[in-house]
Amino acid sequence: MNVFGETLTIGNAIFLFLALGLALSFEFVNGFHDTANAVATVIYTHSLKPMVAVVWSGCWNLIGVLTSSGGVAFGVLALLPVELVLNVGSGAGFAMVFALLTSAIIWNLGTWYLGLPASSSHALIGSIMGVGLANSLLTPGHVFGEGVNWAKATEVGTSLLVSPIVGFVCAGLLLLLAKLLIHRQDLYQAPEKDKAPPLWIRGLLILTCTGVSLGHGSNDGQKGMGLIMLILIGILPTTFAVDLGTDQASIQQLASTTDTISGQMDQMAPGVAMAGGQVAADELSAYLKTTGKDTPRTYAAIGTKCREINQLIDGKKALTDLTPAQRTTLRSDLYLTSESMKKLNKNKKLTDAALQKSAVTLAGRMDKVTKFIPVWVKVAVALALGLGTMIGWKRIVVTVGEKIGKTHLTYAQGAAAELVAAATILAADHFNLPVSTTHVLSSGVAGTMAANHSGLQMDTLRNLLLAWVLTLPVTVLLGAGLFAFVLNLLIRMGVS
Amino acid sequence: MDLRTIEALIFPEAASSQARTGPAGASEPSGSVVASSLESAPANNGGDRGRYERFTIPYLFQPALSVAEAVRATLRTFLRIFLGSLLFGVWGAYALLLWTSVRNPFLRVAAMIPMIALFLVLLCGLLIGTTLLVRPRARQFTQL
Repeated sequence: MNVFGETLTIGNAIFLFLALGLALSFEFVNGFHDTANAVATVIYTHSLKPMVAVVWSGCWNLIGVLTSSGGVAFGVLALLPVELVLNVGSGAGFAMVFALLTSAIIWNLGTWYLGLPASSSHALIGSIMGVGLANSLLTPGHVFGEGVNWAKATEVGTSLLVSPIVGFVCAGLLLLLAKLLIHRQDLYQAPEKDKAPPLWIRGLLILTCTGVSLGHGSNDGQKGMGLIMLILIGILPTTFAVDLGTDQASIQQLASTTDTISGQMDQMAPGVAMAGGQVAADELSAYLKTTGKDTPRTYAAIGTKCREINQLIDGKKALTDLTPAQRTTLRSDLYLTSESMKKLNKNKKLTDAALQKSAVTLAGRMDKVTKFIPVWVKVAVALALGLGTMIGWKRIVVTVGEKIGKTHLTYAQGAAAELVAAATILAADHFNLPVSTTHVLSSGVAGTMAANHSGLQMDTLRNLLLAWVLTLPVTVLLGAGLFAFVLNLLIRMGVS
Repeated sequence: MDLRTIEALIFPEAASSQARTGPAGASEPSGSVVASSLESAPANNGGDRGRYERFTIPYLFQPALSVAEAVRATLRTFLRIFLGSLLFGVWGAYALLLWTSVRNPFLRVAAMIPMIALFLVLLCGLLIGTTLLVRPRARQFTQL
């Protein structure tokens, strides 16, 4: 069949919708976990009725998703093995998408059934690492572990240490500060049945719930969007490889920047020549692996790719003027060049100030063309997230409200924990802190219980910590096993 | 179809637990230090709740599952999610085929209405079918 000018077989179309269904299911299950954290305190303190709270949170998640930049969405894709990202329409690409979504869904469901607020982001990162690990094992010519982003693994490890401490200490201190400054006994008592808290604390709790929901939508919602875009780009590259709405001025700016960069790169690699675009692409793919090191050939390859991009787009009024094959080539070239320039800049390999500036400008202009998310994708993800919250909020709410401390959560404890969680999301967004909101909120509640001398239910805390520590190894194993299984199955079925 | 019905279809062990224990408040986990106000609420004042509030509170679930029960429940739910996605995959492919083969924009939209209705019917059938398939096993398991 002909879809948006692209020939699609029934098999490809089934894969497209199956993958979309799984990606939306991941967001649906994500809603069980993460958004339940946002509504836990408002529901438990009777600040909002459950139905109002979950709908309110769902709406702010929707706004968060719709107003998100898409930066996080494509950041997730940067963790995947380069060769699989560039060939997501292949059998290995399908195995990758299936394995990482399935393993993240299974772990999230399992922890949710046990009422354990574990991090969905850690589950997804673990699955991605598992796929990378299995890919490096199964693909000939690969060094074991080179497909894995070890820096991200370290970040998750740091998060496991930092998040509980941040949540526990900050929320505990905030509660003690509140006790010192606000002498209203009713704030430090468990909510009475169906009785709403005082207006100002109710307002504060609703505000923090709104902040957490908005932050969650704009951050976590993007992970599903990124995966959906990966699927769409792989199956329907003609329509989704590049932003076809890019205006002529942006195209010409990009053309002139690539012209400048190619000249600068040639100066950094005198006498080195690339024997064609494919050789340059292979060179950059190798450089983008975690073990990849820069050589003069890397700079020559960037120069070659920039010239290729320039030839493709120079003088074009719109990207629709390109043939479907040219659009796919343009996306691959833009992706490889942009990521390589970012890596060079990050590793401080570009010493010249003018070159650094050009690299940033080029990456920005390239991202504008490749990193776009259609509104319907955002709406679909937001709806899946919101529906998940409405269906599955309760297990986590009960754990946060009743199973961490030995007494019920008071208004002040709820406000302190939620305030710390909301502030953490904002801080994490701005300062790129490796923290998990789920972990911060749960430990925040524990911190307020400790500060209040209420006592802690050690069984729950032990299970929580165990789930947090096990998330990465379990999802890595699940992701790797599923990737190997599906890839093997597809090879036997003759799908390459 | 309300959210509680959807939840009961996705998580039938919850519904079987509800059938076994009566209203959710009756199935308090043993060893819990505090009594769950959320669990007891529907049991105590379910009749006082407004129509729309009752409509969306998915309180039908067994609050404390053992690891083995959670593993079984996870696999059952994942089966539903996977089969639902597979159904969406097959339906979506043929819906797309229909969409691309009809040229007239009005007829395209008109053709999609029965297709969407068909998907919803098939999805309900799939969820009910898997529920019927796993419920006797869930009951058998919980009776042990």
